[in-house]
Amino acid sequence: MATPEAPLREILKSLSFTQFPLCHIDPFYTPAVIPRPQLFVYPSPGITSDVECLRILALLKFANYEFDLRYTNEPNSSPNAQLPYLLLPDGTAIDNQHIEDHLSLGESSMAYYSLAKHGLVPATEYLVWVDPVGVSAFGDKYLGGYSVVVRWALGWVVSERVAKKLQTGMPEYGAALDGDVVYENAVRAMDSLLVFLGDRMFLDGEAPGRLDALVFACLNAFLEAPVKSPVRTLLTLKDSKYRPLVDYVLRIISSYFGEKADSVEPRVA
Amino acid sequence: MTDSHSNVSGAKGGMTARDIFSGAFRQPKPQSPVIDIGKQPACAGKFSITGVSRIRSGFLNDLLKPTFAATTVKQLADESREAAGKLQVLGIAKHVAVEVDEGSDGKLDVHFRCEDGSRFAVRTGVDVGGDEGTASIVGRLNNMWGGGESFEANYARGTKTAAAFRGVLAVPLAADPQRRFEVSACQASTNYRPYSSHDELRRSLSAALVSKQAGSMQHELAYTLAWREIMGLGHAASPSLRALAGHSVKSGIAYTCTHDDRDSQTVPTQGTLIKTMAEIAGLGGSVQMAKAQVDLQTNHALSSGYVLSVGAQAGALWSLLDQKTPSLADRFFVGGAHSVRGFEYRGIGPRDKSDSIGGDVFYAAGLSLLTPLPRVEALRGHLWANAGQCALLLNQPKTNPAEFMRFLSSPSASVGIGLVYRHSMVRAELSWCIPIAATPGDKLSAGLQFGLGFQFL
Repeated sequence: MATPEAPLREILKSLSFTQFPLCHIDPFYTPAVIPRPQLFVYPSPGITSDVECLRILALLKFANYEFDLRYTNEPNSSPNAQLPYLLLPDGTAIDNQHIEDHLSLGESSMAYYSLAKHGLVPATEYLVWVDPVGVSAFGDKYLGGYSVVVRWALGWVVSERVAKKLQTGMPEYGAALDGDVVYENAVRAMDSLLVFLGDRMFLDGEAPGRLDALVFACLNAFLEAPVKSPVRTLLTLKDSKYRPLVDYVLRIISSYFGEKADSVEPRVA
Repeated sequence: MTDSHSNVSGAKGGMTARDIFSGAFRQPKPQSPVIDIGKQPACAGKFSITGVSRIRSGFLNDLLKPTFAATTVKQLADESREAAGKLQVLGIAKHVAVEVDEGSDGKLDVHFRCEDGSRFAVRTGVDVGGDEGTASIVGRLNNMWGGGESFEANYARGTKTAAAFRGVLAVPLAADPQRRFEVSACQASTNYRPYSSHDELRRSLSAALVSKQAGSMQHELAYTLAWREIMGLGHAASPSLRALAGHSVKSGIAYTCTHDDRDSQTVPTQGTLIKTMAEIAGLGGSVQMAKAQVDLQTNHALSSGYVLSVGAQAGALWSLLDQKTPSLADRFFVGGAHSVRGFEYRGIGPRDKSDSIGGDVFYAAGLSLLTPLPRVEALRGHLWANAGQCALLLNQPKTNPAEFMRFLSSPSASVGIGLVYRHSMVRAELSWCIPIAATPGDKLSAGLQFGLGFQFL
């Protein structure tokens, strides 16, 4: 019904701030378009040697997920400050702990997954961040591109944090962190996995899954490391009983990493 | 008692008082010399000081050089007062009484009777500025080594600053409080998540020479070593921001020159502010860049209490050598109640999703008219117009002159009307904003906008 207030209401509506601004200017900056999901990992001459990055990379390959590989030394760019992370075309980033939710993979044996996680992963972390030989060899891989000051400070902080984490996980050894014990645990885990693998193609059966991604990443880290370790020595001995595990790693590389990894100029901070 | 008409008998024998005075007025007046005591020659022979618990002889020598060089009484008095003032400014003495007495050999003895300054002070406070409120506690040590040195430690928390520590050691040069050498260390964590989805942690060490001259001019030359970390990106941070995350170390020299003769920093009615800053980084570290920024403001009091203010800011940032993109911590941001009103804080400029990523070139300008209001002295009416623009243009692979001209000729702009509350410590504004022009990525703040701080455009 028309009221004396109706014309006023219309005038006020025309002055509504949804009408502003009065003049539109073309933007001066257009963000880059992301055509395909991008996985950001630590740079490496070949396949990335970081265990977690390689695990996620292998999972994406196993799931036939289409993505581009990007290199970065900067974990702060990740939602949880850890590499790798997956950047989707809509701009959303998924951290390493949630990438698996986007993939369709079969079930894995939780018992052996836990065995690999608590046996093999600590040994790789010890090799990279605590073992003095490994620290000097791997420092540039993770911290290259930073200034000397930052590299020294960050290296010390991460090394202390990893040592404390490994120490915490082994209460039976008290306050001391013994590298020999760490490597012995890794060897015991390899023994169990060797039996579990048997004469199968993959640990998860006919097709690789989560367990394969984890074990492959850990074993590849020992094999590709630029330094010797007790685990690598055992794996590469002539007539080693762990030869099937080495063949298993090579089988996955040839099946899923045969083509050259997408290479983009590594972005370093 | 006699009256003026009676005869006074005396030595003059029959002459009246009138005759005597008339005779006296007819005689020429004797010429007596006028002595300007200030110009009388004088020099200081001895100096003594009492009442201060700590003072270095070397510092006193520098402080009293002008006093002992004085050649007249006025010079001696002025230089003595000047020296006494410096003692108070440097916190060495609370009050100084200057005494001058006749000494031996025709020289003057100068004595400073002082009340010792406080050696230690703690204060708490609340600061506002830069769209942020901050609570802080400050501890200060005065006159640490007898030469007016001071050390100040500051801890602050604010709406954007999660935590900030700062320690500053200031040493006056040649006993002059207007010239000092400062060494400082600082760590601050700032939350920019509402504007740019990140936190910034900054640790820095710096050494600076600061000199204040007559005519409201100040110069500062500083070397800074700063470790900045862009971190705390969540899942919603944009890809452009992720590409800028991480660590950077800046080692550089900055020169700042400021001329400020405004009658007030918060609501000036007259005077001019000219501030220029030039910085170059690349002496080590991971950042190689050159940066320049200029701030201008001029204020004119018109008739009947009206004040016209014009302000302008501009800046440019160039990456040097192999550096391709400027660090996020060095970029310019425009927008907000203290910058271009009518837009949110960091609301103008390059943007990816909801993240403001800053620019390498910017400008902003403002025109304000303050009007008197009846009955309320501290409140002013305010009509204003602001414009500004920010873009990433200078460090692109190919420079596009046409785009640069468009950048200069297409500012985001707004106009408005409001109220300004003037306080000696802070300026508060309440404005009704009407955005006139903007890019699609700009974040408007149409309608009411509140601002609290010191410097406004």
